[in-house]
Amino acid sequence: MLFAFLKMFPQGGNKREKIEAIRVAFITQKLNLTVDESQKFWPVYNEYQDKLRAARQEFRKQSAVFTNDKEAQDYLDAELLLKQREFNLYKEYYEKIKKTLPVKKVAELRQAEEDFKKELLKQLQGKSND
Amino acid sequence: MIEGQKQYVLKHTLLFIFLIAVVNAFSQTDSTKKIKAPKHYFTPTLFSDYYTTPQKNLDQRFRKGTEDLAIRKRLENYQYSQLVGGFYFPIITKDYDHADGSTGNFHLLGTGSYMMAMPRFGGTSNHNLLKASIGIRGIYNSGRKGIWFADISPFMSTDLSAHSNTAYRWGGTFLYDYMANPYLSFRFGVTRTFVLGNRNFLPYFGIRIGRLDKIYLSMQFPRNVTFSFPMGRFLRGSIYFKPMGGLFNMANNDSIYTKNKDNTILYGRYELISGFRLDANFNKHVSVFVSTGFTGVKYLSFFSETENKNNRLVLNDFYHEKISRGLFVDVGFTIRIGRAKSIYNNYNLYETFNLNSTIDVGDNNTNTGDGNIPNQTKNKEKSNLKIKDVQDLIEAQDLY
Repeated sequence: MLFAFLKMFPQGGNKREKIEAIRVAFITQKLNLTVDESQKFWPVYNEYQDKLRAARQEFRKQSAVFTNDKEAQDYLDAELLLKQREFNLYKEYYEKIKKTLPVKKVAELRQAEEDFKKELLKQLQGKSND
Repeated sequence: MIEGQKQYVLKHTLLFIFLIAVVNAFSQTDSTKKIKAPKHYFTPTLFSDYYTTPQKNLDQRFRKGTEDLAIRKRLENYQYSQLVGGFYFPIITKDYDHADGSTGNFHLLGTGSYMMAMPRFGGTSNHNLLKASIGIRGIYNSGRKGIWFADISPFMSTDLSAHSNTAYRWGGTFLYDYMANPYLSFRFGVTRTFVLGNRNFLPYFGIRIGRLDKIYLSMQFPRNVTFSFPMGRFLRGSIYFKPMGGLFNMANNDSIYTKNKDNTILYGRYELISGFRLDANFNKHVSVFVSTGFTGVKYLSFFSETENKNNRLVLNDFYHEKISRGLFVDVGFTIRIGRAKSIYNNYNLYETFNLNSTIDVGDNNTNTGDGNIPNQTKNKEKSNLKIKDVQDLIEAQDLY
């Protein structure tokens, strides 16, 4: 019963939340969002990230070890589907985010996301060098 | 802890383990199932708390104007404990994209609670008074400045220790929340409540100054006055004042009331407590709290069922006793099951969550805390990252 109880809670959730919180602070600072912009932007952006994460998690369930051609083909199809979904979401939410922020800030958002990834990679690199 | 109370705590714990197992059985993930983004902002939530005060002798001196010395002599002393359990779960969540780019949402929640009130008197038999509610609440967050909240909690009250009548009553709250900005909000409305130890229909007025994820002062009449502050990432401390109480059906097997040969009387309890509370939010799913302080004002009352039969407003008591001040201890936990939609930096939803926790399920004025509102994080906290922690955030080509 204890194991059943523990299984209900995703492992490593805390670190995930921590990173998300850091990302929020990072983007807010980079974009210099006003209260009004923030109020409109975050609900849309959070929804976009939720859908993106679900699509990527689904893809990661695919086994990357192939015992035959069919499994390899399934993997490639799933990867293609993921790219398609990511693009569709990008297109859908690009329009929605444009309603919440001035175009200049939407462009800066892309840059802020890239900068945030670089920050994460720096952290990972630092760890692997240790 | 008295033997009867121990039994109820044990039964209560077992009931919760059973509930968790049942919910878990229905929430098993099928690895072949398509992963979908979460649908709701609220997750199914279970909570429980145990509250106790020490035994106090009743003042046996005759006081001018009182006619209830005989009852006081009969009762001798008074000790009170209560066990509360409850849940809420999302039924419907609907998002609305407005033309100005803001996103509103509507939340319909199912609610339920039970409370075991355990008043103990030196001169009477033990009474375990059950109050159980099933209700519904709707919250509309406009995504701009306003949030509408409506809750209705019909409940039953009976004495499990001896034969008594069962009463069906209801509590409810309807209010409008105006959030001027993340630092300031106002609430106006009406509430039908029993937390003051009687049936009251009161105006609701609230003001909050300070951000919910930082330090804030919140004054919510008639619910609480709270000064809350983060203590690191996972802990939150609060200094608060709040009323606690209720109105319960109680068997008259000890013949406390003799006038109409009623088999049931109403037991009313009211305390104004002030204390310190420490909430530990281990993650989004599990929170526990401990709280202690003083009961500054404390009353107990008995009401005749017959005499108040046609009374639709505040009930008239036949016995009213002020109890001397004392300490209290309150401990509890909250479990949130499953994944919810992200709410980072969404202050309208933070306010919505705070509304939901301030106006508790079942009108007991217990508070589940705001464990789903993350404490404000500082940028410097980024260490010990692993690939699996960030794999949703970076793509393969980012690593080249």
